[in-house]
Amino acid sequence: MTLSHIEHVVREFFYGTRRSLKSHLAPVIIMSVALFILGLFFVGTANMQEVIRLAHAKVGLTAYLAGGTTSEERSRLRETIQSMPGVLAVDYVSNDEALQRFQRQLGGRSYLLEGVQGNPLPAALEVEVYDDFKTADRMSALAAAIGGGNGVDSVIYGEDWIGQLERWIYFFVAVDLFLGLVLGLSTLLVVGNTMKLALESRKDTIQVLRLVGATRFQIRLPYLFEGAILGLLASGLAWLCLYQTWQFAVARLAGVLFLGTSGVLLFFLLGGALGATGSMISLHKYLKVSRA
Amino acid sequence: MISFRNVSKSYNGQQAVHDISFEIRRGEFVFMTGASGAGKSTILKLLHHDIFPTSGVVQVSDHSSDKVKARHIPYIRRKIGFVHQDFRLIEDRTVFENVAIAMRVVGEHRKKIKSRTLEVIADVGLYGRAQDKVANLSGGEMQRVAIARALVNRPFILLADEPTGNLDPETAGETYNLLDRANLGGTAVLVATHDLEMVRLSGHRVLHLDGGTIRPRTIPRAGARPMRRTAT
Ligand SMILES: Nc1ncnc2c1ncn2[C@@H]1O[C@H](COP(=O)(O)OP(=O)(O)OP(=O)(O)O)[C@@H](O)[C@H]1O
Ligand SMILES: [Mg+2]
Repeated sequence: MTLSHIEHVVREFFYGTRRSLKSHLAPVIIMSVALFILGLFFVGTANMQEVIRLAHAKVGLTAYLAGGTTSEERSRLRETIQSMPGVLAVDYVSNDEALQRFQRQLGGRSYLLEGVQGNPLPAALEVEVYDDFKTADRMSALAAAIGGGNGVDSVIYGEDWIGQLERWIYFFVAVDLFLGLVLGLSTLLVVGNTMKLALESRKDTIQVLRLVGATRFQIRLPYLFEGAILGLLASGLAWLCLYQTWQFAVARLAGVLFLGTSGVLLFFLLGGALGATGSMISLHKYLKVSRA
Repeated sequence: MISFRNVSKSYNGQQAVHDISFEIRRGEFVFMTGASGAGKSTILKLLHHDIFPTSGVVQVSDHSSDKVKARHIPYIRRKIGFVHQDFRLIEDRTVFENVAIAMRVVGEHRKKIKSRTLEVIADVGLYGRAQDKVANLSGGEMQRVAIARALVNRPFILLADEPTGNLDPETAGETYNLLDRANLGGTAVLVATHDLEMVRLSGHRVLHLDGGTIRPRTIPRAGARPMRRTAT
């Protein structure tokens, strides 16, 4: 491959696209709509996952202690829990601390506590759990183990919403995959059809290239290039629309995430790869001539 | 340099050429005649490796059709110039680009492409038209562009399939002059034609095809030209 070979490919690309500029407009728009929708869902999922991650981080387990537990019992219990699998840390919250926290939470409405005699709140052990341990099954097993300990009155954790979170995460990833597949395939079809028309309208050129001894590679490369460029153009358009949409959302809802650098790169890569693959498929289908 | 050894070619079971053997030597000028459907175009396509024999072997320099790998075929074609009756030009490109494309495919240097392309365009008498779109040329001019493209890489053989079929007698004569000049430059030439008068006038070797096989046929040699003239 010399410089003039590359020059040949680029030249054929420009000659070729000059003929089909108009017929390329529609597929680029269709592709960018598909990519835009896909991008919306990716961004949506990323945001959902961020929300879920934040919620997940808060998932913990609180063991309320029975009244009159001695500090000795307490520290034994603490050690037992600490040695259980999946436990990251155990914090003791005395009933005084619990009351102070509650008062802080009430803020200006702390007068609500004025009529309360003494401290009705129990002391508790707050159990922090490793992230990969925060599944519904493991948490309930852990809760049961802790609940059986001496001096534990009751154990609470976010039983319902842990399961819920899991289901949401699966749901979002599944929707992304499904949508990615459907939109990816339809994009391939659109590009494939576009390139088929392009090949059709440049039969003469392909015939001449064969006649003068162009290799398969030399004949096909400009079309792969063309498909990839169409895909990249569509990605660019879709990205612009996504960006505008994000700006719109962020102005109203602080903290909305957008695609990171690697996300954007991936997005463009996806468009380019879809375009190139689409044109490869039609090249394969329509240039299949025996030994040539 | 080029040989056909017991070559047969069938299309869907229908035999187009049958058990053909002949050779073309370096620098030779050979005519191929025969009625429509006799198999002339088939032989040219076999030689160019556009199609392959059903049996027998087509040999082009070191390559034999029974052993050649698909990826080598383009390189064989680069050594063969092929002029089709329908010219096979890219009409929305210039004369220059239509000729240069054969050199671009080979990967020649840009400067060399420019000088050699202009040289060949001048050789076929189209110097001033280099930047014209092919679509604006006359049939005879298109023919000359096709010849220029076939010659630009200095092939060892030039194939022409009824090169004068669409041309008036005068333009046809000019076309033969171009082919003769290429031949004088050392390129072998194989021309399929119905133009028997031209064949007689030239005195070149003739392969006569009849129903897919080579038949001997008496065509007066060059020395006999005046005889033919007086006869008509
Ligand atoms: N692609 C093809 N499929 C089927 N039959 C074919 C094909 N090409 C040629 N033939 C047949 O093979 C025979 C020889 O055809 P060919 O084109 O070689 O003849 P020709 O001598 O060039 O004729 P003409 O002078 O009319 O150009 C004919 O009977 C033709 O119908
Ligand atoms: Mg023919």
